[in-house]
Amino acid sequence: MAIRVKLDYLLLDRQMTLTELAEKVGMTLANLSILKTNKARAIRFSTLDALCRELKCQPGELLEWTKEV
Amino acid sequence: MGRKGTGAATAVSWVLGIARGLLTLALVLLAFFTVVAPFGNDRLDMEVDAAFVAIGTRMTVPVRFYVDTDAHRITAPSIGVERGELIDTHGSLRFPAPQGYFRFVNTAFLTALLLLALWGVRQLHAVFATLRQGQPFVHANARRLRLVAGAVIGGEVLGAAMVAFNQYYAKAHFTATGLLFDWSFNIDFFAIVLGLIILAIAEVFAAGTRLDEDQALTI
Repeated sequence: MAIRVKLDYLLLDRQMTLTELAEKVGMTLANLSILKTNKARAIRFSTLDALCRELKCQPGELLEWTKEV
Repeated sequence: MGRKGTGAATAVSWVLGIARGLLTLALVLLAFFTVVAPFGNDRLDMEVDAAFVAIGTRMTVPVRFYVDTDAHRITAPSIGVERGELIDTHGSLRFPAPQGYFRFVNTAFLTALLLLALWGVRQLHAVFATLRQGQPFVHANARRLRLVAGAVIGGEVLGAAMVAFNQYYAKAHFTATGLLFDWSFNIDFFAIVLGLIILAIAEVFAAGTRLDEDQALTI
């Protein structure tokens, strides 16, 4: 995947667990885990909005483009 | 999330299960008669008609023939027709089964057709099992439907070859007063179209599976 979700870095920086974030954004742990492990094919604007709101960040801080290995 | 399948899928699944059983039984009977037939005598006058060929002491094979219009005049005086013609005439010829390659080739054709049908029904049964579970969009279903399409087209070609072989055999060996045996290799156009339609459905399933995965992995 060329687009990487930097959820693990942001969670570490905000001292927050995946479970806590899941509760705050109203998503299942399984879905957040898919995002965190970069297995997602697409992300909804509503999901991005909720994540940015709770992590207090911009979409650019959450997503990163990398060369495919 | 899985959606529960319809009652129709359950009913079709039952029918396919019965078809699997019947085809298996036909294969077992074919194997039995193939083994027993060479030892058959007048007291053991077996005859197994499976579709259009028989394995036993007598055989029934498909034939194609022309009727000699001089020997068999066809008229309809009440409507003023003095001479009619029978065209594209097909029938079944029954005769004591000869030993040798003819019986062997027919047994081989029939076994191949039954195995192909059984294999195709098994694939369809598996497809309907996923429908019953409410999860039809899986990669395996697209592959299974491609195989079913191949079985339908292959079965039609094999069946046509079997009929042609028997017609040719009758033409080469049999004579009848006023009849002229003939042979042809006729493939049913609709069976090929059916195979292509199933192939198209397989591709729809493949696309549906990709969309389903995309949907599941859109967070």
